[in-house]
Amino acid sequence: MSLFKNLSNGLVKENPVFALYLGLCSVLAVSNTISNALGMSVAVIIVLTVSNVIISALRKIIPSEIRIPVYIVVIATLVKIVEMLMQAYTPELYTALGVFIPLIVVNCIILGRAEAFASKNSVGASAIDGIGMGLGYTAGIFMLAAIRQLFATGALSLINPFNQAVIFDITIIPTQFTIPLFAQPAGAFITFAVLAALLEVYKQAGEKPAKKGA
Amino acid sequence: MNKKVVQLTLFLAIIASISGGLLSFVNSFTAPIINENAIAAEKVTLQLIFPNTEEFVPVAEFEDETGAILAIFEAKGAGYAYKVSRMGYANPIVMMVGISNDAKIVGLQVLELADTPGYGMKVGEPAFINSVIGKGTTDGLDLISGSTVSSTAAVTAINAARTHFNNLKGIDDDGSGGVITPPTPELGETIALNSETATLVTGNIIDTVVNGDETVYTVESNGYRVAEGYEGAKPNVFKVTVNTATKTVVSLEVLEMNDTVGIGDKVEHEVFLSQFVGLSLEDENSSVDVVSGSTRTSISAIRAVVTTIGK
Repeated sequence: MSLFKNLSNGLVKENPVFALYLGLCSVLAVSNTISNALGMSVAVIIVLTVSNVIISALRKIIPSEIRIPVYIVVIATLVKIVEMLMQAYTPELYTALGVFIPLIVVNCIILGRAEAFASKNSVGASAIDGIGMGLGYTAGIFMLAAIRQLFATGALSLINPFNQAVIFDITIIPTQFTIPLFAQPAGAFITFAVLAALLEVYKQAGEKPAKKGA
Repeated sequence: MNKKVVQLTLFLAIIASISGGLLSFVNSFTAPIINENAIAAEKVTLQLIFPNTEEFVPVAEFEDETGAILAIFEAKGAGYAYKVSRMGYANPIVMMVGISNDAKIVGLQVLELADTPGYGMKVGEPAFINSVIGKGTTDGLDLISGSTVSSTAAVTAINAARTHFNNLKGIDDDGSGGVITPPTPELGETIALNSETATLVTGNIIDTVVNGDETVYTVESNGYRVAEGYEGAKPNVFKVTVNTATKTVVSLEVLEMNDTVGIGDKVEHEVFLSQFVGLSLEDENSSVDVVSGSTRTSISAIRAVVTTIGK
């Protein structure tokens, strides 16, 4: 598997959010603003990549009988470290993401990649897989957040989590035309379903010509 | 087989101890920053209460049975600040209460208050705040007439802070100060007091002290709880001072209130008791207003008076 294919795998074909339907709990919950979505994504990318690297490096010495408990200990430690760093350096983001930071531990993308990929592949490939899957997660949650924030508030804004400075804030839809439903959980489900359907259409359109050729 | 179990256990133990070590390392440099963040959010309020203090340390673990205390900050060398909250009339009331090391309330900052304008909102007005500031940790606090629910919530929250402070400093609260000063009761139905009413007499004089023209009677009179047959109910005891020459009431005091706490004991308020001063049965027009909501207890007081001046 080439490096690029390895990376792009997580972005489209095996996009964890829209193709594998993994880790939806946090995706639906924190995709209310793009600032929260990106903050969550960074946390997920770090945990996913580092846990992939550690588990891949240890794959030959971890006894297979207790591999799952070992993965969980590794992942939980990483999540706790990320949580403490966020609480210390980005307190507002920490408050906004709330319980979903500790819940990264049980995010099935991470345990799923540890079991399906990192435990069988080299350290380098596992790191690339972690970044690719993390970016796939980012792409998914960012699209969802951008659509929800745009329709719910009419504006797109990004805040620097370290100093609360506003990086950009553009109003696109006048406030009288906003749809508050998109800020609610129901809005998250509707947006998610539409995006998942669109990705499915795209994948099927890509497969048909390939079949004809074969 | 046994060897395998030992191997697996050891492996997990090693992994767990490595992760434990890592966590305590990260915690060692993030914990002080997290603490500072917790204070930074409150520091503006804290410095309004303790203007001369620079160093505030959050108290991480504390005991509070009431659940009113949200956070405690130690102002180094000055005292303690308590962030407290209680449900008001419509919304929670959140306040920061500062208590100095000499057990005085030195500051009260209302952080969140959204009750009825003109009523509950009085909790945030200087009149109430100034009535609290300067009080000791065992003194009673006054409620606000007309905003009983909101001011009771505020006082309850402040008392939670004071209880914690008193426990911390070993200050003995005899309970007298913690008692909330009752709000002014509303008066209701009017009861005529004249020679006819004297037939109602059911009071039981248990002590008489003659002192010149004035005679002091101690009278037992059955209140609500006795009349309703509550188990172990006792009659209320009143002290009635009567001028025997003019047959008028000089004063009425409540010695023992055995009716429902919070309802019957409203008759202990001056608004009700002062009505009896100068009252005489000879005057056919004399009357007394009962306390609204505690009619039966009010009547027990009236009976006690009638028993004495009817003699």
